[in-house]
Amino acid sequence: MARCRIGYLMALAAAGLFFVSFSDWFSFYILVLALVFPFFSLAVSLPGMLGCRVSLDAPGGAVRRGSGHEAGLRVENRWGLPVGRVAVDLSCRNVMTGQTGTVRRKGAGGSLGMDFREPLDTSHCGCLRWEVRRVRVCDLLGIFSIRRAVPQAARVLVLPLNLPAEGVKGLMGMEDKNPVMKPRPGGGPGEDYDLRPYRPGDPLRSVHWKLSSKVDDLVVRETLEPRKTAILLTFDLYGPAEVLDRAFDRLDAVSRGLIEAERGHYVQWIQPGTLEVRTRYVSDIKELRALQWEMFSTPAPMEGRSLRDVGVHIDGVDGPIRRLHMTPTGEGEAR
Amino acid sequence: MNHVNYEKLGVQRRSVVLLADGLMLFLGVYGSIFCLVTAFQLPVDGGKLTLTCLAAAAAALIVFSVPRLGVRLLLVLAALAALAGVVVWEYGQLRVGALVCARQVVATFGWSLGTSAELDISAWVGTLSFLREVQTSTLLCQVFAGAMGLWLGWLFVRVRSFWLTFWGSFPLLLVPLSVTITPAWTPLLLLVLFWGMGVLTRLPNKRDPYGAAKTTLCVLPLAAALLAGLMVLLPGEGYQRSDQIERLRLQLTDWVTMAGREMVSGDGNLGLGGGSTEVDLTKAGPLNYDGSTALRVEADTTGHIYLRGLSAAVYTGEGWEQLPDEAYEELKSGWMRQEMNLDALTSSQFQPDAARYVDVPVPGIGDYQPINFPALADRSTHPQVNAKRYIIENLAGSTAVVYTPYQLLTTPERMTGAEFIGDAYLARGTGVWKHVLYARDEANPLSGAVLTGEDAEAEQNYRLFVREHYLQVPEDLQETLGSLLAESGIGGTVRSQEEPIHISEFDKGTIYYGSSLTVRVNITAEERLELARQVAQFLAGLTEYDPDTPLTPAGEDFVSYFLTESCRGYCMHYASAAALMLRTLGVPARYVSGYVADTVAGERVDVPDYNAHAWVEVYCDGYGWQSVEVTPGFNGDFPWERDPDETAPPSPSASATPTPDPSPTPSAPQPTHSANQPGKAKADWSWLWWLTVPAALLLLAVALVLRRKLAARSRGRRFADEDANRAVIEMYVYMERLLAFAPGRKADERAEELAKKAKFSQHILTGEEREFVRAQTEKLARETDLSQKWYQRLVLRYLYGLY
Repeated sequence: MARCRIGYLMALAAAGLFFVSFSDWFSFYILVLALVFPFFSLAVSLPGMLGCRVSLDAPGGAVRRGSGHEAGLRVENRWGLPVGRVAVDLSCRNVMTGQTGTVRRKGAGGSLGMDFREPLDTSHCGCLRWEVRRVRVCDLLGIFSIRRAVPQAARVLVLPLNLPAEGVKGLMGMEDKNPVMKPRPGGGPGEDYDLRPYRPGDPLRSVHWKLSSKVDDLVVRETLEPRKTAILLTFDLYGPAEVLDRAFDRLDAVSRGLIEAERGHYVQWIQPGTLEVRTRYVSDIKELRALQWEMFSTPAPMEGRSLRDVGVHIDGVDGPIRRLHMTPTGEGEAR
Repeated sequence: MNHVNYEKLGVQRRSVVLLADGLMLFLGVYGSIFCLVTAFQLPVDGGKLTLTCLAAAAAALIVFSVPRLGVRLLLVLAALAALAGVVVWEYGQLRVGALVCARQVVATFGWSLGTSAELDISAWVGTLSFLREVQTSTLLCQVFAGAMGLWLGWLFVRVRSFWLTFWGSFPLLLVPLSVTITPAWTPLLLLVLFWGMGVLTRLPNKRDPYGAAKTTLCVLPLAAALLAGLMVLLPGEGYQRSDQIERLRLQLTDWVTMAGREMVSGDGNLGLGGGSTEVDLTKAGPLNYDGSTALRVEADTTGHIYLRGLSAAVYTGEGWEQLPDEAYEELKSGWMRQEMNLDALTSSQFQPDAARYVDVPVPGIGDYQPINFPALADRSTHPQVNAKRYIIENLAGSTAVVYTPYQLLTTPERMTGAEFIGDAYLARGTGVWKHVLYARDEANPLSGAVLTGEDAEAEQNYRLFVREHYLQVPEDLQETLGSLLAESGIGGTVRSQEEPIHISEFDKGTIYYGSSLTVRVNITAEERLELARQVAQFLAGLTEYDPDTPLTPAGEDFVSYFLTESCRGYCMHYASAAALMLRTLGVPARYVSGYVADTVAGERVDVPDYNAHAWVEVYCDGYGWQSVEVTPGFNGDFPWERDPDETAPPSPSASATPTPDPSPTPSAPQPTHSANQPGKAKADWSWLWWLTVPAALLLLAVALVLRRKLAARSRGRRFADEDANRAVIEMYVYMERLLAFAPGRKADERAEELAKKAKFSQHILTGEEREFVRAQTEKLARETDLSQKWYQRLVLRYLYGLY
């Protein structure tokens, strides 16, 4: 655009010089034409400029770290008219790591649309926010420009590497020899059961009629089941991107392993900034992805407080908790 | 980033691009060719040439639109071969046509430049009838149009570069414009339209040729309307430029001319090629000339004349400088002069308190110009003698001065394009390179010419100014010059007392200069000129004329080194030395530079650069400045220098009554010319109507295509309405229109039912229902189209825009 403006000024200077040095009326005509022409250009370019629209096209949802994906930018005109020049400023920011990249894409014409492809930076886990910061459209001469509306930002989740699901027997296999029993919700048959007085609301079928007749009071047979150990995966949401990548790789592998083993588990970390401990329950891939969206959408500082130094606690969980702290080197301990 | 290449477009879009390109090519070829034709008034058959331009544009479009490189190259070669074939086959005709066109071009150039230049082609082709001229020049222009079509076709259609296209066609317009010839408006505006559309579609043209083509087709009528509208709003009749713009133009022309001259001026032209009014003697090295013409002189007299450029008063040792402006202000308005209190000094009674010097007011000379004094003196003494006219054009002389003949009669109020700068020179006016001057060439101080009346009073005051400023010699040079002159015996100088007594006693005519010289000041003009001759002879004997004299070493006084060390030099050395020696002798003198010319009455002569020269002017009381030649080998032709027996040059016939000063013709700048200059052959312009018919048809075609496109787009938008009910209603309305042209057909029943439901019920149609109605609409449109005859289809498509 600057070049076009400079070119126009030079042309105007040439027209002025022609006007001064050539005495005939034609030089005056050319000077007036040179002064008027940019406005004429603006007038005939306005339909094309105003009809210009920009849309983003990013891979839906999530991509794996290190995969070669591209995001698309499409510039099209509602009325199929070309524009002199269009300049789109794009930025791609990894919300978690804070890495930002900006790029400017330019084009001209575009009556049948213009497509730009940009490679996504999937080198680190995180949530990539791919947005258009500014769209400028020029008239056919490239002198005047107007801004156009920017589309909504697109988000792409960069997932950890698809490592094989880790063996989680160490977390699940060591059950207590003397498990703590707890009433089974909904009752049902079972070897272990407990007897207790009837409470309003107990189903009639759970009443032990034989015993109740003997004690002249309603006695309920409550089936028991062993209380399972809660599995807790913890990690630290701070540090360099490479460190976080390895920790997330492991967390993802372990979590998928537990999901495959149909073992719901908790994931816990200290939220940067507020320093609150956040806990999420994961029982399927959907919940894992939702967790990853939440984690990767949080800016991770270089330093922070490790959850390793904090005592294990999960709200609403009374029983034993088996914990695995994810580290980049995979030396997280289970306890 | 991807962009739509031409080859990737579909057939329909490609045809749009072809249409736009063809239109633009025609504008470019027609505009270029006819700008030349109308500017130089070439005798052509306009109709044939227009068709040729059309054919050339079409051919170029086809050739350069072929996608395959091999085929394209073959077509280009075939086209070039065809052109070459035409040239070879019709060489005789083309030769005649070229001569006819050349004759017209030369005549137009000559007319524009104010000359009578003509090219007589009868020696080559004999006498040609007008018809033959038209035939041959038309053929030449047709070949040129073909070549132009190929050239622009390649630049615009293939390379798709606006700037290359512009620069490829602009020179054709530049040729007539360079001599202020404007072509006819129609081709000129078409060419401007071509460039205007080209620059508008410049940015998208390469990457989006389809978009650029659409823009061209849509905007072209608007741009044409803009150009026509400007013509209406800015009428050409009665157009007059403001004086400021005209002055700016002259200044610009001046600056360009001076810059150009400075670039090409040689080293040995006595510093006269530049714009300085001072003489730099440090650059006086070996002379170097290239023989180019410095001045062009047309005079009413025959003889050897001196054309003075500028004179300088102040010698610095390294050059000659002008007097300060304050000195000339005083000369004009008056000044106070210090004189010896002679009354006190010569009184018989001793007056110890009397002042040695007293201030005496001297009236100024007002508007009198000392350069005019000799002519005024001669006119008052010989009123029957007519002045001679001189036309002097400065081609490569100093850009700051006007070169004038001696005894200049033209006074400031009659001078145009020049300004008197004190008594030194005439400064050239901006943009004026030619001057008409009047001078009394026969005037001389020995003819008894004297000023009278007010002229004489002014001269007497000026005389005092001269004595104050034109007797100055640097102190460190006085001893050298005094010794030389004393040894020379010039003017009978004798040694006097030792004590340096500086007494100025004009009445007694004696002045003491230093301790070795006594000279007389108050001497007659004849005596002064005799002293000048003696000084010249002395210098000729002392030194040697050498045009290859090297530069004076740095730090050395120019004149002193010449007289005492090198003893060789050329006119600059002799003039400088003589002026200072004459001043030492008490003769007011000054350095002058200019040119010498040998004129022939009534003829124009070119004065080459090697005629640059320097000489001396000596002041003669009661007369004015008189030039003196002091360089050995240069013989002047002044009356006082001729032998008494030598026949004087023929004098002009005297008129019975004194001829008043003729009004000098102002040397105004050359007028510019419009396209309405008289031409040799008057071409027939009635063929212009040929252009309007195809243009109108083309515009109509474009309008119809656009109408169809817009209708389809509007229809598509309505059918894609977010409100499904409204969209279906629109579809049904469209079906009704189609059925009007397909009698016997009916709309699909379900589609009709759905349309009624959309119109009258609350039900919102589903997507499926909408698509069904759309499919039925398209089916009906196809069937209706196919059922029509070809002309009916065209009408329905392009006039009604139905599909």
